[in-house]
Amino acid sequence: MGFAHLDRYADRPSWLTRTTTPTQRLLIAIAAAFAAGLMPPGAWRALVVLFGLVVIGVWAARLPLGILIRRVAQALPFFLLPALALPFTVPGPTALEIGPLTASTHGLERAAEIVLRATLAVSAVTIVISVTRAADLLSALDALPVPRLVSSSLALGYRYVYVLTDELERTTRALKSRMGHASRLRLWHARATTLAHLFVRSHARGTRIHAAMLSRGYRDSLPTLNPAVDGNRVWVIAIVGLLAAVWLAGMIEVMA
Amino acid sequence: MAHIPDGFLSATVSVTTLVAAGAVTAYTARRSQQELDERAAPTLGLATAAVFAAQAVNFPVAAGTSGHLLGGVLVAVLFGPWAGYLVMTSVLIVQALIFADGGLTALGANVLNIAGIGAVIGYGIYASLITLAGGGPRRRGLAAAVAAYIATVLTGIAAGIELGWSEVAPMRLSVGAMASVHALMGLAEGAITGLAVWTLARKRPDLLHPSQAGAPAGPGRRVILAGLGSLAVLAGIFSLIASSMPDSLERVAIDLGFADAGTEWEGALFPEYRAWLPGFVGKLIAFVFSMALLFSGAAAMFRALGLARSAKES
Repeated sequence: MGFAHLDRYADRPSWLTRTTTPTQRLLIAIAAAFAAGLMPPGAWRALVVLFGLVVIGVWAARLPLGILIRRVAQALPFFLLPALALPFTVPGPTALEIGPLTASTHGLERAAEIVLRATLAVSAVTIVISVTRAADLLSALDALPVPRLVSSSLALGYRYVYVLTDELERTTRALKSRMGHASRLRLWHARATTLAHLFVRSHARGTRIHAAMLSRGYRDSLPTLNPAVDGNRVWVIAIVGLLAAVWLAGMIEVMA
Repeated sequence: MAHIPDGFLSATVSVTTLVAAGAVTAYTARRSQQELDERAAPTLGLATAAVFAAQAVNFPVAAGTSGHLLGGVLVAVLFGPWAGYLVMTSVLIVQALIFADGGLTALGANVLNIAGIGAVIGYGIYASLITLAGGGPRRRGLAAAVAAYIATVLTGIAAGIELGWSEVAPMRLSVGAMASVHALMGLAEGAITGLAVWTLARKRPDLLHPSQAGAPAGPGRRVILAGLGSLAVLAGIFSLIASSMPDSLERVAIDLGFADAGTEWEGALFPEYRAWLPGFVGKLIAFVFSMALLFSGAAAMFRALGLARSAKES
């Protein structure tokens, strides 16, 4: 196991990867997520414009559409399920009745809107993230107001997460081969014990890593060997500005 | 379910929670850097990776469904509340960025709910319980289980408040729905956390974050008793009032004009609710429960006063 499946589309040459650095791409992703996610209710025209921008984004990043759909579909349950409750909770005139439930028109409208906003936000982030390596993305966090401790622990966490996953897999396999057909209670206890041991082992590993880092001259910072890429600032400002303008247009559309 | 996705929060709520979470994170980062020195980054990095790996372990619940650990209280018990907060924040950042699990616009709210309440407040509950009950492995495990349960429910309530404040759904419904979903999720979280902490406390007590366990019952114990006591009294009074008006929820629903949507939705999601607590029996249970809360709260407060007096005398 590894991050390889996440980075599968990271090295594709495309307009987006040629003109922007990982940091700039992260900025674009954040701007797009905010423009879509915080669109005020009722700004349908602005949402349509955003949808158009996302389609252009797919093209600019040369991300296969199937991959985008698959990755967005993985995140779908997280916002679709809560949104499904809305038609039945938001007050308003009755639109349709399903058994004992009554769906209100306002509720249906709001649910549709939230699903659209969330889909746009997730797709925009997914496009940009998919064409950027996870390691580059995490080191790009340094450019944002993220505390150094968080970004460096994220970088180290990224380096060791699959080592720990494999360790956990080994422990779980050992557990399974010894437990046989245990009752659910015993299984829970055994798995919780496995988790406890995971933390014991990660602590031991952390101590070893820290000693190794110190012996190699670690001074509280993790230098990167990635070559610096020149990005095109003008394009980034233009894209972020465009996203902000669409959001503002949405605000004006609702107020008018 | 615990994560709030993109698109649900209004601009006001999103920006407010982001600013608040940013301030808390900056403070916390400084605190942990002081507590852990330069050991901080490797320790927290490995803990972040461990939480990620731990969240992949599924616990069979029933009928093919399974749950997994959130881990806030467990991490806080191991590394202390501030480091626990940072670990959970790191996990949330990666989930929002790479796995689209919880949105970027909701990152502030999710950090406050899952890292702030889940780790820091959860640890506060754990530490208070340890101070009151003592720090044997079994008691530590139980304290962690209770803390994880309460923290999970509080996380749900906080998410419900943020959703209600964003006017996604009426506040009463969003808080009620989130609280009841998390009251179920909390059972699993509490059981797993409790079992894991019990194991850790027996096998490697040196790894647990040094808390006030075993410390002499000083003013800390008194303050905690008084606080818990007054909370219990308040809860008792509230439930007394609520049980004397059993249909207050429905009355409010009628007043606000969403009686149909509200009650039918509730009846559909929680069909056992009405069958379980019909009329008189429900009132009786509520009355006994609130009386128990009132008396135990009063007893705790008296105990706290007594401790204060004996401390002064000695």
